[in-house]
Amino acid sequence: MDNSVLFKNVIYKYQMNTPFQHTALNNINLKIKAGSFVSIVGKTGSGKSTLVKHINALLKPNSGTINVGNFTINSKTNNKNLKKLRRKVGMVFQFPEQQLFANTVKEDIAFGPLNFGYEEDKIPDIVEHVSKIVGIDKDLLNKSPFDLSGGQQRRVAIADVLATNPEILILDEPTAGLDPEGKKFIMNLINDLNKYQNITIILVSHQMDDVAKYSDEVIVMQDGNLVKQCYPDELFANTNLLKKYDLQMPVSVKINSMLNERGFKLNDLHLDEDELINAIINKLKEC
Amino acid sequence: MANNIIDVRNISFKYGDANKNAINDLSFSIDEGEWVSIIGKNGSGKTTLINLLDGLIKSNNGDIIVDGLKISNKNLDNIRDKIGIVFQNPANQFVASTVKEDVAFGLENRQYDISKMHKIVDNSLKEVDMLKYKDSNPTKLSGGQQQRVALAGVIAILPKIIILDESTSMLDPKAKKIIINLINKLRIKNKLTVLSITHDMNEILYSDRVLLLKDGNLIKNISPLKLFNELDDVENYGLEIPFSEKLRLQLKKNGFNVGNNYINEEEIVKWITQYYSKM
Repeated sequence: MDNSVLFKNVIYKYQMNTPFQHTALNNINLKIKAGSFVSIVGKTGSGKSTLVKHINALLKPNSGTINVGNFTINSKTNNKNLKKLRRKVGMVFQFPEQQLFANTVKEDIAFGPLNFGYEEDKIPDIVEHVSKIVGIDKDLLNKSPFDLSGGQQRRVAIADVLATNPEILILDEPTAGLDPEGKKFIMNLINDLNKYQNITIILVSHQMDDVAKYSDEVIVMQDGNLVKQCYPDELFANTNLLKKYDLQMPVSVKINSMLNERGFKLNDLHLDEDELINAIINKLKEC
Repeated sequence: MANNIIDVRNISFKYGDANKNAINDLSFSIDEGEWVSIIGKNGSGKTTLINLLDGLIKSNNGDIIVDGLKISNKNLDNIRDKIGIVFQNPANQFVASTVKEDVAFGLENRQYDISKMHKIVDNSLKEVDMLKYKDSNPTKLSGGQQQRVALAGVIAILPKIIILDESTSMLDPKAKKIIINLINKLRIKNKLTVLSITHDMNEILYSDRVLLLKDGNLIKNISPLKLFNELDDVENYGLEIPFSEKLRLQLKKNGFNVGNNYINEEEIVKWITQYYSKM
């Protein structure tokens, strides 16, 4: 079945009918294809997190509809019927390790599937399977999650979500606060889930280098509006657009444009850093 | 010559039943007013070292002298008055429901006179440009603003040393820059010594010196400009090599004469375009 995500005229206001009313999403229309890797970017407060919370009905729109596969979410959606949707759409919040709670890593990972009514004798296999995917060693499974390092805790938190076998995975700043090695691990993990398990990835991120490197498509949010949905090359090749949306330039784009301004022109835009280095060296060697 | 403010002499520390030392015969000293970065992978001993400096844990061997005082149970309060720590996640540090009360918390703990407290709180918030938020709820602020409030709480007690425990790692690049510039300004103005645990290269480049830890050992005590040139396995130390440095090292490998010191993006672009125009 097609698990595309479709927003139609979605409006969401915080603190409706109070003096603090604030439009967080202003008539959003978008489509995220099943199996794609889409990044959502924009300044803090632009509506990114609010947007993704609508995909598993943590927030419901004031008006408009959201379709996720054959689910429809609107202002009247009843909370009772959301279990299947929540199973389909896994959500990894910011600093998800703050939500670990069980006595052991094993129990923490098992919580979701048990809650969703998986048969108990299937749980050990699920735990083993997802802990392997996120690179958590077997001998850590019986430890308290609180005895693990920050990077390991983050992986367990992702395993928690994977354990319910989501078809769409939403991640809000999944690498924030990790060291470079931990960041790389998580980004590769997310990419593998997309490429090899065909899970739709919806990534909220400020890390433009990651966005440029991994996404199939980018959605730009600004003041509650969706201002652009395009291929990463289209956004990152255009430094004026980046400035307009107040987005950090990926370092490859920045160096490329600095070189350009000084008359050192490369034939192609290389978003990948290693490719850019090779292109520069090759050009220097030619002369 | 500058005064020695931290002197660490042959300290070792082992956690409970661990089979090896978390800190292994470490010695170094830091001068007053210096900005020193401590870098290394997770598990290299960085946080253990900070906990030892603040007296949260006690070394098995060796001495730590902070501003002339040897750390012991007797003078822990004295030592802690000299050290302010800004942690990674400000949201975990807030205790009060308004910004001003939160900044006052450390002062209340130290039994400051209430009449003086208001002025100190206002001044501290002014220093970090957060005075207009003094009645706000700290949990409603952005990450960068929260870290500025945490910093105000730290400077309110007039420490001599500020420890940044990955304080900017959760912030976006802009907020990072604001915090780091702010701390540097305060450092110069109040003659503070800054000790920063970080993975962030921009922050590392601010420092006068870098201490590189691995498995509890001090591997390098070095200028940040030399760091990448002297380590051929940088990635094994939990560091992200800045792009300009990757490019410089690759150019060097390919026989181009780009020098041995770190150069930033501007400088490497200049080098490339000059080399190119001479051809």
